[in-house]
Amino acid sequence: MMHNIVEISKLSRNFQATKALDNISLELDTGKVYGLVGENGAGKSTLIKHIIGALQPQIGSVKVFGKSPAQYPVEVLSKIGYLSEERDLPMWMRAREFMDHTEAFFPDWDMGLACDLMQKFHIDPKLKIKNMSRGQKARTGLIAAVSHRPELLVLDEPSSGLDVMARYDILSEVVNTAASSRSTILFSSHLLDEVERVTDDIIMIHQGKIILTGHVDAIKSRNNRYLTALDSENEKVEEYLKTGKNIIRAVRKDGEWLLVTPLSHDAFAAEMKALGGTITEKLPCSLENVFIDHCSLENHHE
Amino acid sequence: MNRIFETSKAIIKEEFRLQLIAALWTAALFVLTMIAIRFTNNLAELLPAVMVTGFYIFAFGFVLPWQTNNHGHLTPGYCRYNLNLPLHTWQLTVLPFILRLSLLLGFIGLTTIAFAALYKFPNVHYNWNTVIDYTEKSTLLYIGLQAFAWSRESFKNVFLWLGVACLACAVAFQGIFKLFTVHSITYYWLAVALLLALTVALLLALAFFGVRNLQRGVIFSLPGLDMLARLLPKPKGYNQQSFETPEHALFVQTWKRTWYIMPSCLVFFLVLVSILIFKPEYYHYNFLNLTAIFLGMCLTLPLIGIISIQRVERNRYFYNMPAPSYIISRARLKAFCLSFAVSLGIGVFGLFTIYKLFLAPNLPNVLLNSQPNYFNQPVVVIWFVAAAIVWAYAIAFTIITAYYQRYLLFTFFVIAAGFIMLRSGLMSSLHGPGGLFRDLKSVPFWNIMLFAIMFLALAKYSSALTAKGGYVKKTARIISLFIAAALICFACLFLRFMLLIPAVIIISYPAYALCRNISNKRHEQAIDAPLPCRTILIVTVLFSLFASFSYLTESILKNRLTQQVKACKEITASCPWRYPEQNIMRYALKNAPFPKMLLLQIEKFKKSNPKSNTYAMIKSVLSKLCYKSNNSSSLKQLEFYLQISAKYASISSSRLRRLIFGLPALDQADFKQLEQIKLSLRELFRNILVQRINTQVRVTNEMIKSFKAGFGFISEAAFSNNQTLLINRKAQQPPENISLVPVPYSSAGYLDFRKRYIIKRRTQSFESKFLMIPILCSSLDYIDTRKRYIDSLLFILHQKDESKKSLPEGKDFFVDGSFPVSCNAILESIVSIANRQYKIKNRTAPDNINQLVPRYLNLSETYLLGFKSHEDNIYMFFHKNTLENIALIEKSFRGSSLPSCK
Repeated sequence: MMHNIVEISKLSRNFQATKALDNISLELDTGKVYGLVGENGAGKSTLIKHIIGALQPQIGSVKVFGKSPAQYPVEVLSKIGYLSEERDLPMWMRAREFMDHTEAFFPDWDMGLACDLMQKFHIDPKLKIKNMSRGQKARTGLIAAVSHRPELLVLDEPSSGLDVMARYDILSEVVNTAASSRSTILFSSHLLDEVERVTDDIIMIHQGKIILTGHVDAIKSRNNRYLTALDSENEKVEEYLKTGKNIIRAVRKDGEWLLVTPLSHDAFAAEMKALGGTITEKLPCSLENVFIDHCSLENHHE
Repeated sequence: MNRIFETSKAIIKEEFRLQLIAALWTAALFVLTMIAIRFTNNLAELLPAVMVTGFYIFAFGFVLPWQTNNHGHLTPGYCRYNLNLPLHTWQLTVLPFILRLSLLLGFIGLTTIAFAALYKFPNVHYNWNTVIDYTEKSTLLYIGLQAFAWSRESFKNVFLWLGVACLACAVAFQGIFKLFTVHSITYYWLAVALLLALTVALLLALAFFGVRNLQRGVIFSLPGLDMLARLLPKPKGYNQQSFETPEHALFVQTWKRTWYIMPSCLVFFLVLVSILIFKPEYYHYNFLNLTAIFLGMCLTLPLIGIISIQRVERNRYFYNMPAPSYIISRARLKAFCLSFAVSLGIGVFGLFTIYKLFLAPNLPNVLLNSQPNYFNQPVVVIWFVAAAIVWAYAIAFTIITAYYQRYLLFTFFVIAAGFIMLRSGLMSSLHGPGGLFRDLKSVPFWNIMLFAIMFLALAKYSSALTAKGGYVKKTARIISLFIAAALICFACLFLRFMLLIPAVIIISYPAYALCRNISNKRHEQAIDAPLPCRTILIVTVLFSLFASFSYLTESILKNRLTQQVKACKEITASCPWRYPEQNIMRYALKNAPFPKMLLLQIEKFKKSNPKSNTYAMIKSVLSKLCYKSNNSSSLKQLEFYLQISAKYASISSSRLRRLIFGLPALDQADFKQLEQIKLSLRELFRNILVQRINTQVRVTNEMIKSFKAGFGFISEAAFSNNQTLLINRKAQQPPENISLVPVPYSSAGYLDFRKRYIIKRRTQSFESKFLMIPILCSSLDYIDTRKRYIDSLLFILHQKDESKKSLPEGKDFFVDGSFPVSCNAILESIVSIANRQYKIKNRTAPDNINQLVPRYLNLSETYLLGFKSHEDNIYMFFHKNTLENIALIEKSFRGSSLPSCK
């Protein structure tokens, strides 16, 4: 039976004049991999910090495993594995010391798994964290985050600034963790292709608001991209593009209009016909396209 | 050209901006410290100011090489960004060098000006020589550090390089010393100057090429040194250790990360101060002052420790661990306290080493032969160790509290400043002696601090435990807590066990403060930091144990003291010289070999100066000055020193108010007496020293003659105005083989051990309750010494059976280390003259020449000088006012009159 591991209700957060989170409500189910995407400063890390209890909600509430993470950090954090974007690791420790140290905090720590992963990732146990490469640091952080088999794994930009191999290792481990322990994974990243590859559901955040949630395929299916031949001089067309309820984004491109709409091909073709235009081509849609269509400054949506 | 000028200007501007911040901070701290010292210390207490000045100068030299790196953190090296700019190496090295050196020299100039404004400059401790000395050393320190900072990355194993260079320099210095000292001092200094110049040039070259290598990405290494480095033992890979609890894991990691910071800083300061600033002769000035400065440095360590804790705090990793805040805070405090304990141990060991290595060999034997019997008792030693740890922790915790509660720190400063103002005598002078505020003087300074900390700690606890209310509730709570804190402090004055309450509150509060701090940083809002019950319990148990142990030790010592006092009274009862004071006076007047008028003058002088503090202070100052002049054997220098004391001559009622800050314990009447004493003592010292320097041999001859002629008739005992002369002349012996024993009558009076005085002395004040054990030990040692003194006298007078035996070597002569330096010098000169006389008379030195070394017996207020040949003993006892006594003896020996005391 699925139940919500994370329940966020009407969460808002201001950093002085900046609104980092604006009335966010969200629920994360058990055993799913969630991708949290959004541009820089959209509020992804702030949302994650609320989930791990590093920030106290100013407005609204956050519950993880039914408890407020800020109020009950011990109970909540013991079930969470967290890897931060800044890799807040104790740099003075050696890799093995770091594992020994982290083990003390988690009763379910699996040192065998940690050692296996260290071996797999070629992490020298004697190496000090400060002397590790960026990829090694990320891998070490990931080992510390998954070795207690957390019920919720929170990865804040884990592949930021990493090479292909490191990214591959991390993604593989995320997939393995999800598969083997049925953990819930919240995965924030700029690299939408990898998010698309790994995640089940997407949470798209823009200017502190969640603008899209749902399964990747469902989201993509609601983001149809058509090249259309429309007469811009036509008042009806102009009115449609300005106030079009079914238009997510409209961009003029080589004399044609690129229109993004949630409508199916037939329904949209009918609308075009009514306006005196035609669909010239249906373009493929990736998550990146979805992201750009929803977050672009040329956005006609809203 | 224009481009070079522009880029150079940019570098200088940036450098100036960076270094000026450090410079301004250091300068501001220096000025504040100097003003604090100036207005809380006696004018004559120049030494702390000199030490502080030196400390700041060297600290400044130490700070300059630090730069901000690309991340804005301070590092001892070059900012990488600058290295990527299209600049010449000389622009990156020479310009900052010149600017920083200018800042350093400017700072030294500022310190000199500040010193001159607050004290007399030049003076014996701080003069142009000192300034030049400090300039040389601090410049060398700065250049050395700078060279290291700039070359550490591009010169492999630069540590070894510098080590080898230092070794070579040391050897070269030694060689030069051996080669040139004997022949010509000029060549020696020339050679030293050349060597210094060479060292500086090498360091500059190292710095220059260090930066150039960094610019070009070159790492320079010497194969030999590399091989040497490879031979050094490598650190062990890692310590595989499993932790049972999160607290254990946090503690171990915090300890690994931070433990060395405080001890290494302490070692650095100790070494710096010891080698660069400290001079053995400072010991003569006042060792307590120096110890206080060292301890002050030790006490600044907690602040450094806090910085180290903060470094750990910056890493959010620990906050994201599933451990409650109080576990994190407890682990950190444990690591902090353990580190502090290690620092304290190193500090004490360092002080001991410095004392043994650098000070003791340069001190007169008289200061080293003390026999503090009771201070060496195992129980007392254990108590000292326990007390040191408990107090150190208390101080460390208090500082932590102050740091994490910034407003508390502010409160401290306000209270401290206010109280210093009160204490400095301002109120007392306004209201006159016996005025309304007079009693404030007797309130211990830190009593107020205790109250402030306790009040705030109570307030914080109270706010954590009780629900928040309105303004009325808050006000009522604050008032009640204020009253509670005041009552507890007040109760502590009378009931010692009550001290447990503030102790537990104060010691346990930092755990709470740190926990709150971490909790806030983790945004652990809903759970208030819990009351540190475990800490409170541990602290209470530890303090109770400590208090019980202290109480038992005290009881044992008190019983012992009572027994000793009783025993001494019994012995004293049988002494022939035991007279009530009036009788002694009468007896002295009747039997003294000096004119009665002179005795009366002395007595009048003593009676008119009941304020022993004033007298002691002036005497101490002048005696030190005279000691210095005696050492230098230069009348000119003596005159210079006396000029310093002439500061007191300029005291007038119009300047009284200003001078009150400098001499807080004095009122107007004191100043008048001070003036009289000063003039008379000055005259006295001038006479003594002038005559001694010019006519040593003549005086000695006269002295010996006087011994023979003047006191030969007294067989057993005779009393002078201020001393009892016991002459034990051996029958059929040459006249010089006599034992001369002047015994002070007032000491004889003190032989009626005033039990109440001894037991109760200095035990009434609040702070004395913490120092009861040392006070009791000192009393016991005091009384023990007295007892031995009586034994010695009885022995000399053949009152004891043991008198038939010879006086045991080294047993009956002891000092307690407080022998006035001037007396020491004067007596040493007398002894040396007597020894010389002996040698001249006997043509050859006696076989047992070592036995001629003078020995001293210090009986707190009475001094025994003894020198002994193979056949005869000569002992001289002096009263605490030894200086007058010596003058009296010398004058009487020469038949001249006493100096005027008016």
